[in-house]
Amino acid sequence: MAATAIDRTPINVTDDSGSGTDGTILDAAWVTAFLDEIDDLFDGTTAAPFRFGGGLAVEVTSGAEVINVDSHGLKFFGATAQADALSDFEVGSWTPNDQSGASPPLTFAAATGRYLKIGYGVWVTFRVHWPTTSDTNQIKIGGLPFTVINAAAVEGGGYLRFTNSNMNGYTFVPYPNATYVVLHDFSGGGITNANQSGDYLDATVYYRVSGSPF
Amino acid sequence: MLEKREEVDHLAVVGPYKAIEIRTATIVMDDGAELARTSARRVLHPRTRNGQTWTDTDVTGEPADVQAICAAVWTAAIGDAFVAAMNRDDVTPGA
Repeated sequence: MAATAIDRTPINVTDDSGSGTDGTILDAAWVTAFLDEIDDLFDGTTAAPFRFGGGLAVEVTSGAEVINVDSHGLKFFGATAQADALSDFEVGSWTPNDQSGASPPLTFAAATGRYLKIGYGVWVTFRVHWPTTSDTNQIKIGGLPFTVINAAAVEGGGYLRFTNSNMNGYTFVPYPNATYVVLHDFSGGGITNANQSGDYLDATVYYRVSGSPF
Repeated sequence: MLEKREEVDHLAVVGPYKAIEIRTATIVMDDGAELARTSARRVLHPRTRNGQTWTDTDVTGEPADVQAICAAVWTAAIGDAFVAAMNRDDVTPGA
């Protein structure tokens, strides 16, 4: 239903029955128009988004608080800390590139990536296909969609989904303040571009992004 | 009429080395109404590695607003600090 101009003026009433209670009531047309406006917000008739200003939070409760939206994002069940807020949700694509230090940088035969970001954590999936190369630089796959958090070495990691290489193990280390992951074997040694020459791998990596409050 | 276009719809300067995170939206429109939108992301750093050499990142192909942000936040000191951090190579499993 189209929006209706609302007369917000309340009607003053006086109780003459002897109760001594006076007050105001809302005009029936006012109430109808108000409810129509609320209805418009939810059925899409109103083009403008529903906005709250002045630093107001939005709370949805069912007995106890269930959802609270404030400047940190979406919080659940009475949480107040920024670290407990769902601050973001986004999906998209990214393109892996070579950050190994090879000169010139390798051009991957194929490189595709997707990401899913929930709050301050991001999951990236990717496939990289190496060209034929004898380069012995340690593999660093760049192009990550978000900057890795500035944190200690144990933040983040990943797993190998599949490779046609004959290497015996892979670990994925997101590098702090950068947008690449470093590949190691299970003994901590570096996996080189030559190790992956002509081969490909599929992997998933999780890391926290720069700016994370926890 | 169907139309497909790309636009940078989100920019952020992130972290101590002023990484510039860029989200590019690919938008499909039909007679002015948006049918679909997808996102792709990339991040620019103040220096770019070529072999063992780092050079100032070339942003000449970037949109004007991105170039303006780069010019504003990427000082020589920031670039040097970024390279030093990337060259530490001390982030190894179990470290």
